[in-house]
Amino acid sequence: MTDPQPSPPRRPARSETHAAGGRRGQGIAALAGIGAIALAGAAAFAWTAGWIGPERLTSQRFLDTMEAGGPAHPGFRRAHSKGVCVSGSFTGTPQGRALSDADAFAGQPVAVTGRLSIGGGDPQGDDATARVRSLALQIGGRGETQWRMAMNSFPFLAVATPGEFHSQVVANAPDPATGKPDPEAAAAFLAAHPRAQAFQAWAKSAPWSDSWANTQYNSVNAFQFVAADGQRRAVRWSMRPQAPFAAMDAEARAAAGPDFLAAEFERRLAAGPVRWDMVAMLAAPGDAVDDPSRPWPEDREQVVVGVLELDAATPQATGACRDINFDPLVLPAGVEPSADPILSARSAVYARSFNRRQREIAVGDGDQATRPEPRR
Amino acid sequence: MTPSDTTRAAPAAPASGRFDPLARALHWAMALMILAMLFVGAGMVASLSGRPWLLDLHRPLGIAILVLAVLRLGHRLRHAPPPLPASLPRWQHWAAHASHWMLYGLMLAMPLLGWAMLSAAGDPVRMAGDWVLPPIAPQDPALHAALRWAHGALGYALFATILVHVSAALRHAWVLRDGVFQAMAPVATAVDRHAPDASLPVLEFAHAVFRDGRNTTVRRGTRWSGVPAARLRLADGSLSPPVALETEQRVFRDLDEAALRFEHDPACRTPAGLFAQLAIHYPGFREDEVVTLCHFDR
Repeated sequence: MTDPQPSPPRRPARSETHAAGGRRGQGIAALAGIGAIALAGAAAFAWTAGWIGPERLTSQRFLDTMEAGGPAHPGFRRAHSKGVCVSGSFTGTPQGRALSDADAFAGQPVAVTGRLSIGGGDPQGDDATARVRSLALQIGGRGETQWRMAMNSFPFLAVATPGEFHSQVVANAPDPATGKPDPEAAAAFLAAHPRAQAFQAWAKSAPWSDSWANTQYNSVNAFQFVAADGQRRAVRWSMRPQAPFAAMDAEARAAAGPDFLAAEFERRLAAGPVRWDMVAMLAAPGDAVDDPSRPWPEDREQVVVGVLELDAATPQATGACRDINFDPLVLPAGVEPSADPILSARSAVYARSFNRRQREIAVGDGDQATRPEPRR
Repeated sequence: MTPSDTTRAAPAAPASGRFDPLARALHWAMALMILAMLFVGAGMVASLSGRPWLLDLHRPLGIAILVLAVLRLGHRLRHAPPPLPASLPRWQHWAAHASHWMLYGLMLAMPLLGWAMLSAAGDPVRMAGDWVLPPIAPQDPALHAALRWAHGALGYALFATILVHVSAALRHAWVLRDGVFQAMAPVATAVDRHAPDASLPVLEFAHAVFRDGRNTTVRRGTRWSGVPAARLRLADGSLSPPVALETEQRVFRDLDEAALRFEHDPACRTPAGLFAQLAIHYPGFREDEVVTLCHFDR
């Protein structure tokens, strides 16, 4: 009538699980199928992660190649390693608001944390010989929507794709035997890449300014501005200095000392904030939106969308910018990436570089990068 | 565990032998989301081209998994899963429970680690548009490095656990055919007639003697009420083929001999005889309690 209290589980006889003898062969086939499914799952995952399959240019491989180009500087950025932290504010214009719905263009000043730097992987590099200068910004604070930018003084890139970029790094890497780049490899790369020749022509001919403050910084990569009404425009932007350009030749730079940029910028700040106009250049139909090696004609419509004001600088070892990854794809609503392949590659490689240097700091290898600098 | 009428502190397992529809819906939706998430994660840290859109998918999908995992854990704590078959060796019972709780732990931990990791990096935890979640950890390189490591390592552990979970589930479905897979299958599947069927509840008997034709068994409470089918534990310990059940709820004191004329145990065909047996098997049984009469044919 009633069921008894729960009894200990009864294990059925083996014949009950395998009712018929022929089922055993089926069972083995089923187990083989299950093994194959598990293996296929593991293989698909390993392929996705880039562990197996034909060698692909992953962010890891890209960064490994860059690191092989010079001595290791644990805790520092892999590129543009030398710089100072800066801070200030950004104020958008109504013209900017008309182009993009981004909060930064709302008209109220938004807090900015940033970094002025020179190109190259040496944290003690010589300002006098650094052809490339850079400005990185984070508009907006912690827990808020943010807009990060990483801009450079060159007007266009030498390469159009991550693959070309990688080849360029390899071609200019030091030969282990001599410790110097192989001139033949560098020449071969140049010969095969006309845009790299154009870049070299710019590097040779463009005048150098005497300050970070009167240098123009360009987004180089294109983005989409999306207005409140949904209208989209392809843009490249620049921070155009309000400070007048003053040229400085090689002799004067050498005389100024290896750290003249930071010293000069501090002197300038002592006299008041330094400002740039943010100028958006709007693409016309047919412009190379997705190719950062091809600048757009200078007669394209240009709109002043905001004003950047920097009023303080601190050494990067102890400044707020040290632990920021200036990933150009941290964007607010109203700004979207273009399909420029260099843009997504920058995002991927910056993230890996950031993870590596944070780990070096975490395990105590990054003392050089975090120790307060002696006052100059 | 065998179906039993004894009252327990733990929530009751479903008499149908299957997870309830909400548990199954959560399982399969999250299975798809978590698998997609693991491949998105592995791909985006390697890819030079796909990272932006993969990352834009990864953050909101991770938070969605966190929300569903909390819901699911709450549901799981209120609704016991159907029991594993008694035929399963003890170590496999243990392995099943350990891997299930590991999966619960990881599907809660992974999104929290990701959220905390972005917080420690100082990165906005952007869901969509300008909707950014607040940071849940201080910005700190050492903390970020530790969280970044843990997020990756536990992600690989989660994928490995899922491979084991899927392999075990398929073994139940294709080799053991013991109803464990059917318990979570998105739709009810045909039961293998050759194998013990744990997807049907089992009626246990103190005295497994039966009449020809109609039989009645009386159970305390209402948990057998409405159960459409069951298997009978026979005197030799084996299980009968499935039998259809008809059930009716009655108050014990309203039962008369007419109601009990098909009681399978001759000793219980009078209210007094039935009460004596009920009092033995259900300590504290009272005449004003509700019982369920289950009728089946032999």
